Amino acid sequence: MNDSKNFVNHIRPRFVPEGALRVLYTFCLGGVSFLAFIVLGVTGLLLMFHYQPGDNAFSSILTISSVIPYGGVIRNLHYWAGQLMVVTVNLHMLRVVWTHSYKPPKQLNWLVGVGLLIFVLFLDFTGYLLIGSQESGAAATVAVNILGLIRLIGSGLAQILFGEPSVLSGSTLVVYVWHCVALPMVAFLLQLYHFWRVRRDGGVRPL
Amino acid sequence: MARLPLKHLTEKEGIAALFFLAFCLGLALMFQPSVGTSNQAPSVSHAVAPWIFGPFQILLLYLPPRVGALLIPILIIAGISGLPWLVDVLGVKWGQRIFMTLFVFVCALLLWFVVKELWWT
Ligand code: HEM
Repeated sequence: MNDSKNFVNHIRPRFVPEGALRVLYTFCLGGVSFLAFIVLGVTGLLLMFHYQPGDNAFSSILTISSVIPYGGVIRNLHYWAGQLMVVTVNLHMLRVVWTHSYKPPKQLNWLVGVGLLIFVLFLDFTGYLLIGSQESGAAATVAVNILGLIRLIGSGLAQILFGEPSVLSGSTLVVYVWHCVALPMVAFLLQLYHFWRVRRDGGVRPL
Repeated sequence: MARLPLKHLTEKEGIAALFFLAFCLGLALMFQPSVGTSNQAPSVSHAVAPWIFGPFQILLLYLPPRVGALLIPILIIAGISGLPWLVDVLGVKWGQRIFMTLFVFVCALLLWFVVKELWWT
């Protein structure tokens, strides 16, 4: 009980340091990155109603884009929010460097941030594979080959991460579950931890 | 430093959120992203990576896979992760310089990719 109260109080404190309110200090880039994540979650959920992983992936995307009512705009929103999130997260990282906000006691949150950056890139990559185009197939093949370079565990890892992608389509059920469930879930929890740490480390204010 | 009610923060972030949503919606209404090549079409001879993975494609194109695909990306991630400790040991100036060198290196690879794969083909 105490722990959950502690968590809520840090996520939703009654007061915040004045520095956190300076637009020209954070440029709202962390918040906007989180918003992009929420937009991706909502539009992604809507896409899941009509998307079919596997051999029909490509044609299901075409159906979503041109037949399903509002499908086109939902897919476009999902795509653009994903592109923008990569940009805003990188700018957010630059802001943190600019203001030296990785310094103690914020080193751990810096590492959490790097973890989030990697998650965002993996989400982007698995999303690209789900299109099921020839290019997705090529990307999946490259990824499987790269993992194959790692001795002993590489090919097992490739199986776990991608299943058995065909050269003609990167879309598999395994990639689908990573992209829609496992990666977003862990990324979401990591973000909550990131926000909690921001306040635990004294809040956003010039050090 | 003074502490102010949370309401001020949510108002500020709320305004940024509205701008971001409007921008996203504008892009979504105006620009239709490509779906790539159907797997029923004749095979493409050279697949171009999405821009986000452009730096990776350049590294793979010119370097042995173990170096371009594993060693360099791992070194970049390690360098970025280690920033707070680099600063501890080398001082803020050099720590930040190392970070910025890594960051600019990735941006340069991206620019190389854009020029090579997206403009000239
Ligand atoms: C999913 C991606 C991310 C989200 C949603 C996110 C969100 C946030 C938010 C909302 C804040 C509060 C201040 C602000 O808005 O700037 C923050 C602070 C911070 N973030 Fe992130 N972040 C992400 C990725 C990263 C990355 C990639 C890094 C660095 C590698 C990072 C490092 C930090 C640090 C060190 C702070 C504390 C800054 C301070 O106290 O001034 N974050 N983040």
